[in-house]
Amino acid sequence: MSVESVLMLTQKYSEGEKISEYCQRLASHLEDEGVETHLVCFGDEDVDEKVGSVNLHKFSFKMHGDNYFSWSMLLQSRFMEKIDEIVEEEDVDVIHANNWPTLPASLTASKLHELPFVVTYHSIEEERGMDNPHSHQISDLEWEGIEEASFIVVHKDKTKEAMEVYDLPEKKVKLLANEDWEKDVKKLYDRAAQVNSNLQNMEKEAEDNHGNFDAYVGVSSE
Amino acid sequence: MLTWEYPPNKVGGVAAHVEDLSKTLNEMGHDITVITFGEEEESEVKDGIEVHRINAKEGPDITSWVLMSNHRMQKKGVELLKEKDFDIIHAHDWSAVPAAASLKEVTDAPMVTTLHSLERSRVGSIHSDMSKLINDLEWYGAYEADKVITVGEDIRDEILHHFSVPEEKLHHVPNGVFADKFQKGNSVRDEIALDWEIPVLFVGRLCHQKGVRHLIEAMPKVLDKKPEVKFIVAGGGGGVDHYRNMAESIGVDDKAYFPGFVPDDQLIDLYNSVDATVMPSVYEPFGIVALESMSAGTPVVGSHVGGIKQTVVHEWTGLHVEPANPDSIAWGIEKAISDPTWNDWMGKNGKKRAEEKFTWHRVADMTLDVYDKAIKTK
Repeated sequence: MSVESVLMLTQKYSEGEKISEYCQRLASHLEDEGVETHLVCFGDEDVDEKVGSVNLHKFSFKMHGDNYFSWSMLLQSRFMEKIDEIVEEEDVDVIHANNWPTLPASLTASKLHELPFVVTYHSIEEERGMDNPHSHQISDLEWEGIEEASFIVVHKDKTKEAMEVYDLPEKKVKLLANEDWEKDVKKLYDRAAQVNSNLQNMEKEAEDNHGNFDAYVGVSSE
Repeated sequence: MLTWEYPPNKVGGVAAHVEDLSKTLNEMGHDITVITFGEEEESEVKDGIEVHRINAKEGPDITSWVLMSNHRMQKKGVELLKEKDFDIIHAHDWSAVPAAASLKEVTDAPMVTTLHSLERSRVGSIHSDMSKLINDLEWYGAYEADKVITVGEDIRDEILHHFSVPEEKLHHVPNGVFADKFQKGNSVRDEIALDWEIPVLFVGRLCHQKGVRHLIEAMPKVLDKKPEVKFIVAGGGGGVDHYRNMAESIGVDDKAYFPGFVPDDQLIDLYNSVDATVMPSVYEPFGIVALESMSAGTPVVGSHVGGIKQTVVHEWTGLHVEPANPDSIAWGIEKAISDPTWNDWMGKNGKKRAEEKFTWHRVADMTLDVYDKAIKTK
């Protein structure tokens, strides 16, 4: 299966910002492969516009948290709202979260819309030193992302090493340190979407056959 | 129902409120699902109510923990949406607002928010980033909701003015009480007081909001005229040692007993053993203690604030006193216990009032009416 539309999330999107540039570069490659990118992020005002290869969906949010962690958590309701709008209108194939501030909404949206979910950890709290008052909560979220994602993308040895504390299936974490990593991310999307689609078809088939136990377990009725 | 506290987790009155409301709605034939916090992730059906507990790692502050919990509540809600449709998303207090608001976005169900109290009044003013956030979430809960329920008329007015909520969105639905539960107690008067002593009860968290300081300041004034009075100051909270020391420094420690947090069965016995219950609160959106005491037939001496203005009828079911005024509190206590016949009469009136005006069935009916309005508004 080849995905056609990706929903990417990052907390902020601006020129020169590292994760924004990462998303831009990935979106540009995806565009070459005929894949549409929708990117949702926080901004000063509500904007839906095409910027380069990205269909940018910025949402504003006026509430202030009592610290960065709580503000990031507060943003999740707006992320959810925006994701919901996009999924209603577009055939999204995969959700791609970037770092913990986009995880809660990605996790919930992936469950709600039954979409596969890939996360890039540009770094994790363990690697950043666990010296933030909310480090344990952030780490807990990162673990939730690790558990529920189809694939976890990292680009540095250091991040992958830091993730060893989680005792993960090795093939779940993809260290992409190569020059053309975008191609590999696209392959991961395709793989995650394929498995998700297979499972959904199996479920649907089981539902359709509900009440016909023989067919459900694959036994001929004759 | 989304609530951060639900039995057996009880901190304030919200847990009992949600449980009793849910039970009653369930008895009336409605399907109730509760999502709440728990020590472990678990789901159970208890008294016909589906209860799902989520867990979130504690953080350095209450707000970060609440927001993490809300993320998990929201996820649980989405999971449940795969199996069933909800007609109403009902949030209780600021601590369930983010999850409720998100679930409202992804369903067609209207949102109802019950605000049981307000941060600005609980702590006196908004003077920290944390209070500001809690206050903002209370506003957000009122803003996002199709209907807002308030447990008292004063808090209704506070929300109307501070949060600029349209009047037609606000509905006053009082708390209820299962009166018979508070009539099943045994008198433990012999255990808590000598033959000649008159026990007077305080029940609540020992904190500023409940006016404990003013009660302790009133104690010597009462004892001056009625040395037979003995005060039972029941309740937990961080202030127990502080208020015990205060009683000692004022010299009333031999007449004021601080048993700490008292479980329900013992509390019911206490209500049935004292001559009066005193509620010296400086802020009390509703004050369930008044209904509990009235149900047991014990008159209430309560500050003329918030919900106490509606539950206690002056010189009929108890006495109103001025909040934060030790002289007035002392006067009320002394007057309530001065005439045993009048004390009995007020107790009977209170019991009747609780049984007739504040039944959970009545409260559930009023809540259903708000639900209907919310559905029609949506």
